[in-house]
Amino acid sequence: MLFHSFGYLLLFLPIVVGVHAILRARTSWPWPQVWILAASVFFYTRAATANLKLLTASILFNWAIARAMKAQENGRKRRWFLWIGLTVNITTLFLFKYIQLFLGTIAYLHGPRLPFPDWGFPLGVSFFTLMQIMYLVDAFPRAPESAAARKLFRGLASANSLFEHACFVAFFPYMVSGPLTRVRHVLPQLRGDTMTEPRALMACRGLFLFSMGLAKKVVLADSFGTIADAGFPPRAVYSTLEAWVFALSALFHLYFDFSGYSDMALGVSWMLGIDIPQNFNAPLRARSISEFWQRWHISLSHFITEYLYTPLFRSMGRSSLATSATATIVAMAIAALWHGPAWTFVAWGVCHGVALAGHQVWKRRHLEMPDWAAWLVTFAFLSATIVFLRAPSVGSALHMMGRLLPHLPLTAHGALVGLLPPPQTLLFRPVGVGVILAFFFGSSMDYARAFRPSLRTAFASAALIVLSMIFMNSAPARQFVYFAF
Amino acid sequence: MTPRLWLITAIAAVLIAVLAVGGVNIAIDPYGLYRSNSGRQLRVAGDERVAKYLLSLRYVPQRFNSVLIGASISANWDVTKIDRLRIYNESLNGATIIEERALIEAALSRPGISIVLLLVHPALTYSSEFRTVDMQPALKRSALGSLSLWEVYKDWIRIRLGGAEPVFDYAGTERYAEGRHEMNANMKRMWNTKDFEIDPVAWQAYIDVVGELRHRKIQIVFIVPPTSAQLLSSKRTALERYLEQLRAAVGAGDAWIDFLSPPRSALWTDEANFSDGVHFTPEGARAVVNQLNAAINDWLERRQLIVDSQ
Repeated sequence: MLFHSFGYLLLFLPIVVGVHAILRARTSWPWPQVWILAASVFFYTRAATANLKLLTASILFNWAIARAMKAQENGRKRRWFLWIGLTVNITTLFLFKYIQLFLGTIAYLHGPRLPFPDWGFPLGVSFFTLMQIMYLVDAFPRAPESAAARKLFRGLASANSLFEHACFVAFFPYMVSGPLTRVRHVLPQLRGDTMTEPRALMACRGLFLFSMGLAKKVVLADSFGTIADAGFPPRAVYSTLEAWVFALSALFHLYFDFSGYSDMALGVSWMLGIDIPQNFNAPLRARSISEFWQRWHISLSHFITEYLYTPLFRSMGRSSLATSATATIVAMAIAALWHGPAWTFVAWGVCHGVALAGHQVWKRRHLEMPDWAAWLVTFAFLSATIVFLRAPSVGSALHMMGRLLPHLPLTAHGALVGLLPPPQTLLFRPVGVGVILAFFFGSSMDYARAFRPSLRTAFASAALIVLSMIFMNSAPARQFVYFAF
Repeated sequence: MTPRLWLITAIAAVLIAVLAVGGVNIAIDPYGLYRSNSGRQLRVAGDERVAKYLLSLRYVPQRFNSVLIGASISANWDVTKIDRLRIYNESLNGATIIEERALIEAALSRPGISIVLLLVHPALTYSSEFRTVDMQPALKRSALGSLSLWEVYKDWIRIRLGGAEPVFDYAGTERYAEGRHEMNANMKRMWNTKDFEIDPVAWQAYIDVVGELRHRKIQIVFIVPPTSAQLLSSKRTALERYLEQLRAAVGAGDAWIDFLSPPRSALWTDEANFSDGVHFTPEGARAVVNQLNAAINDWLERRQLIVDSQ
């Protein structure tokens, strides 16, 4: 079930939120939570019935490992449990996501391809597996000696029950595509311990943010996506202008698609009285690659920093610019591979890793450039490297990047007009609006934070939902990009 | 404003807007889906694929007894000039048989259509893609409020204000301006290769369409359209090979009207009938329809004789 389907919007969401509100008002814990868990299971089975077994096994296994770690008094054995848990999770991800890439690459290098059944790609496996890894690390009871590691291994204040763990992992707003959420952030909320503002106000804010996310996805992202789909894989020899239009469309598509999804996820969570991490903060206005990663897929950036970069950096011994740069590049390559089982993703990650390392050097040498130039360089880099996420092969991506460099014909647009489906005016209007919104307006989170219940915000929210429904009614729903990651 | 009142206001505004948009579109009903179509003459506006698909669900079977399945080649054949049949022209620009199959299925979803005129041309089996939209029953929902509907109203307003002429008539025929259709890239490629490319999926769909029509006891009139002698000279053998394969699908009671046969050579040897060798000028289209009318009359009479003799 997609967040932007009529079934979700008109039936699932109102029923889930409505019944949850009634249960909250009339019953005590855990009944509202039981209802959310039931809704989450229904949500997941509607999309992928066959994968429910995998999700259930993952919940049971990781909860059992965490319990075993807590119960074990021998520190060495505890560490063994942690490693078993991490190994099983990573192996699961490998078997479902990377085995075909691995075998294909071996076959490419050495000859015949080893047979291995294609089990398909279980929905949400990338996200819930990472969350389980974070859970195991957070549940590790002994805080190591160093300050950095103590910060990482803060552990859980108290053990969670199997029911709570199932509620945490399977929570439908973030289960499929994040934001990656830590158990210690959600657990107190699941127990109803923390409330930062009145529930009704939180629900209004949630609906307001949800309507912005919905419009971002179906009005803006899908329009950019249609243009990007026409351009990738390259079907003609593009002019410089055409290559840039397709590359920028791919970047804006990914941004509006995933940030729209994240807004919807956060909005629904707020409607259910649970706060989850913010995932985007106007990343296309970043003036450096480091700033970009502080604004783009923020929950993943935290994961990369805390669970990949820091352990890698620490394992390298001597602290220096070289080890930091190496750890950055390796961590980004791994994170990129997590996005998709293809070498194009690795290439994208390495590019970003190298850029981040370069930025470390830049900062270390106290070099500076004007803000506008810094933004332009960052944005050009993001636009150029995005082709790795769209192109079918590294060669194709490099070819497309070559077309981004000024060449003749510079401004020809015959291929663009020929490849885009008519009526093209319907595409270009949302695209124009999207570009203006991305560069000149605040992020949807800014508006959500400043939200006050008023007629203006009520009608704005309603207008966005109705406009989105008209767009939803105009074309078959496009899946979220990150569902495939 | 209290949060509770805000929620009620926002939800009520959504419901009222949705009901208003849906209600207005049901009342206007540009695709003939919700009101009686008796006496209505609905023209294609906006996206021709969306419009022809939605019109085919109710308007076409209620107002017509035959459909012409074709591509841009037959899009400007004025089928209202066929005396003894009420034909709706389902031809689409750049159509494949996959898209046309969706239109046939829509038109046959209600009783009313008894004869299908089926173009026999490599253009229909060249590809198996949907060009712009997936024509499927879910598209019906777009008649309640969608961007394609917005395009329809824009077209209507332009025509009402005198800024444009209607492109289609009420029977689905498109009016080309003289020489509008230069041969497009696909058509050029089709005629510039040694043999005609056939997409196996499209080919199978063509065979399936014929089988389905026969299963439903729908009469089929196969039409081989004229192609200019100049263009045909290099590919006559390839085309004959292609036609021969499809000729095997013709059953007893079906008609096979071949405009490339020598008795009709006047049509395709006169280059003035064509704008690009494949598509017809308005005069050329009129000449084709005249001959088609005669051939259909002849076929219907022979069929009547057979029925009478039984």
